[in-house]
This record gives sequence, structure tokens and C-alpha cells, in this order.
Amino acid sequence: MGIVALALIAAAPMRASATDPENRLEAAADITPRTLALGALGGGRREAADHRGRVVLVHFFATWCEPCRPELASLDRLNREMGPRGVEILAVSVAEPEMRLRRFFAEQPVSFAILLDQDRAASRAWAIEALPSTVVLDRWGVPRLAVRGDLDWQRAEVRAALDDLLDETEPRRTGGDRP
Amino acid sequence: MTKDIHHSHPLHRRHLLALGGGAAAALLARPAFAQPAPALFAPKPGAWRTYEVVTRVELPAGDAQAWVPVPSVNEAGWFRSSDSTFSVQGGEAKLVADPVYGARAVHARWASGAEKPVLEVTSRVQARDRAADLGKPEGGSPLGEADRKLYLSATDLIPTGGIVKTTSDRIVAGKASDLDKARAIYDWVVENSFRNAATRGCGIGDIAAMLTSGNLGGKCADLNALFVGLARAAGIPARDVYGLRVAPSQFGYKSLGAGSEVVTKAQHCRAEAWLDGHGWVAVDPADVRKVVLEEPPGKLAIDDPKVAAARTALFGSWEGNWLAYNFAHDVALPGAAGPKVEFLMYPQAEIKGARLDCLDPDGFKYTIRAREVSV
Repeated sequence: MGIVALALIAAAPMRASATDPENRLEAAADITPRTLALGALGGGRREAADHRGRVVLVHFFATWCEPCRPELASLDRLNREMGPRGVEILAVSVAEPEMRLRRFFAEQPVSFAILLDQDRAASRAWAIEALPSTVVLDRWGVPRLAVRGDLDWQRAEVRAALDDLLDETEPRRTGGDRP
Repeated sequence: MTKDIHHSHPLHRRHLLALGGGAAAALLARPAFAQPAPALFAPKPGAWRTYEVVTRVELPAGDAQAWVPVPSVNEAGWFRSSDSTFSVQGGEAKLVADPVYGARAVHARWASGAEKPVLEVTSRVQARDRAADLGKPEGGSPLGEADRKLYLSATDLIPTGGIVKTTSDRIVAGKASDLDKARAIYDWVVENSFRNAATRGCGIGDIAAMLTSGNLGGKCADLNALFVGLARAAGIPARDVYGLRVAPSQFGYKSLGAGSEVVTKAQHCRAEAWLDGHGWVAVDPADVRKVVLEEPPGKLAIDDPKVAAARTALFGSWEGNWLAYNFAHDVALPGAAGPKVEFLMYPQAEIKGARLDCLDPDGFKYTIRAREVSV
């Protein structure tokens, strides 16, 4: 399946959701592999490259961003259900103090890593124009899908797109490392 | 240590955005500028009022630093930053200033063994209503080249190119003078943005993200930054003025004043645009949207008389029940382990190198009290 075919542009059925039903997971405009190495909430350092072989969602958010908050719950459910099958979520907090994040996630815990982009260097390098935004990397670290705005990660076509990436056995674009 | 200091910021909203200012304006009622709105809200320069503001920071442990903004604005017509004093328990403190904007703060440090670190800063300011007669240029000095450059420049969250420029170009198309352009931008922000009660603090002011997402909801740091960015993109010097509401509105607007002496969460930023012949002109579209949302009974129509009066007044004037801290963006706190702050309006602190949440004064913890005093 080509990358264009992966673009999910068909209208999704309307349903009750806290997320914006108009937002779509689409083919990534820029498929240049990018690095991501940031300190993590609670200590340690995480790199996207450490997760080669898995489909990685690099999710940029802020707790002050209203649509970001329900999407974190949606991502948490995705992680619990697809994490064991090879999906990794790296949630990048953009320019927020660590203490605020500790308090927020103490009240709304999530099962994935929170990375700290305190000076916006990572969000700039990834050309993030609005929060929330998510870039999906294939198993070779190549950006393949992206969504600007919040998304219901339980939608069938979203899950199907992630399944397609998990099923790939060879890189579809040059520039990535083999898992 | 105590030290005296002396010295001399629906119709579907995406649809509205796509329509642009002119078309969107036509869809909504607007105040008739040719027929003055009722004088429900009409600040005029009058007597100076003196306020004393006390900011108290209490930290749970040592190995800590705190930065408390000190009023740093002196504008002959409407605001005087007078003396400030500060005291610190168990540590040391000094006055520091941002090298770009001159925004001052008291910076305190406590060693690892310090118990119950406390910093208290007391500031006195004088303020009065301001109003520009926009129908009659008053002359005056031109804006200096350094200030013109500074207040036309992009900041980290206020770019002046890209979608900000294209949006600005669309809004000011057909407008010849800076006054007409600035008013068009003001009207566009009033008509296309909205106050979002769920926004934490005063918002963050990421205007490119707002325009890109089409979500023009927020609070003063978002909505007035939007005005500033769009004005700068149109070639009009503009600046945020970060401050604090310190007294009730004398016009009876509950939404536009402090409700009590405790003003810990009463931060409010305004904006100014430089118009040749008039100087810096007061602009506050965010407060128009605050009146719409919050003025009793709440959720007022854009053509409600209270809204219309505020909208007419808040392009050119504002009330002197508010303290101005500074005009600063992207402030590097001296000695801080954490990143620059987008603006310096809240007390800031770090413990063991970790930045505290300035929007959580109860957990921080800090309190701010303000009272009007006789001279």
C-alpha cells in the first residue's frame, strides 16, 4: 500500500466525541527522518531512535491546550490496546514547567512517556504549527502519517492505518534504518 | 535583607476566519462609531490614583530561586512606577532588569538548608484613566528608531510572517492610514475571537497556532497578542502591556475590575499601537470579549449596550484601575535553570532547578494583594 493510499481522507461517520471529527490522519507532508531526544518527566532521557521496529507516535501537546486534554485519554487507551502489538507513544510537552506536568499527570495518569520540550527546540525542529499535533513514524523511523489538531484514536480507520504500518515488513521510503 | 529600590503586557469560527475581516464584520452587528454609544464605559484622564501592591512568595524548601515582577512602566499620561521595597527571609535578593525591555523583577535565592523561604515585594504605583482623541492628531515626538524596530519585531510566539502576515494583509486591505488599519485589526479580533473561560491563566499567546488551527479562543495574553502580531505584520508598532487589575471598575463593570483586595489571579495584559500623531494608543480587544462572556447576566450579545460601550472605548482608552508591569517577551530569568518565559506577569520560582507552575498560586505558593492608598 503506497503512502498516498494510507491517507485517511474519507469522511468518518459522525459520532459523539470530545475530539474534532473534522481532523484526519493524513500522509505526512515531510518524510525526512528526524531525531527526537528529550528529558522525560520523572527523569531519564528518551529518544525516538530507541524504538526502531515499533510504530511511534510523536505527539506534541500542552496541558493548557483545551483539546489536548481529552486526546491524552484517547492516546492512553490506544497505548494500552496497541502498545503490546508494537505501537509506542512519545508525548512531548511543549514549553511547560515540570511541576505543572507532575500535578496534571498525578490527577490524570497516562501509560506512556512524557517528554519535556521546555525551550520549544523539538517542536520547532519538527515544524509543529499548532497544538495538539501528532506525527506517526513507521518501524524505520520515517514520518508517514500526521494530524494537526486532536484526533479520536479509537476510530476504525485510524486503527487500520496503524495496523497497516505495523504489518509492513520493508521500508517504503528511503532514509530510514532497518529495524 | 531589606533594600529600597528607587528609580525613576457560533457562527462557525473557522468559517469566520476564512471570510476575513471585512466579510465577517458584515455578518455581525457593530457599534455605530458615527453615533457614540451610551457612556456606560468611557474612561477619561482625571485624577491620579495610588495603589500599593504586595506580592508574597512562600516556598516549601530551600535550594530555590524566585522572581517577582516589579512595575517597570512609566508613561507620563497614565502610569507611574514608584518605589518598591522587598524583604527576604533566609536568603538574599536583588533587583534585576531584562536587558531588552527593561522589565524589572526581584530575584531571590535560598541555599539548600534554608527553611520556609519567603519573599515579599511591595510596590507603589500611580495610574489614571487614559484616552486618545483619535479624531485630532496631537503631534508629539516620533517613535525612536530602536523602539520602532523592537515593537515591529517578531517574538518567539508572535511571528510577523507566514499566516500572521497573510491574515493581517487580508484585514487591512484597502485601509490607507495606520489608524484605519489598527482599527480594522481591532474590529477583526473583537469579531472573530472569543474568551475561553477554560483557558488557564491569561493564555500563552501562541498566535500562529491560533491562526493555523482556526481556534481563536483564549484570554488576554492570546487575544491581545493576536492584535499585536497582526498590527506588527501590518507595519504598525505594537506591544503587549502585562499587568494586574488592582481595583474595581468605576463604571460598574464587574468583569473589568478586581473583585477584592486579593488579586492573586487578577493578571491582565493589554496592548498599545503606535499611531503617528497620537503616540502609543490604548487597545484592549480581549476585554471586549471579557465583557461579552462575563458581564452580568453573562454571554451578552455583541450589540448589547454594555458591550458596545466597551468596544467603542477600548480602542483608544482604558481605565486606570490596573497596574502595568512591563512590555517584555521571551524573558530569560537571571540564574534560572529553566527556559525563558513567554512574558513576565506572574511570579516565577524554581526548586532544585525545577520550575514551579506559575499558574498554580495555591501550590506555588504566592499571594498578591492590592489596595488604593491616599497619596
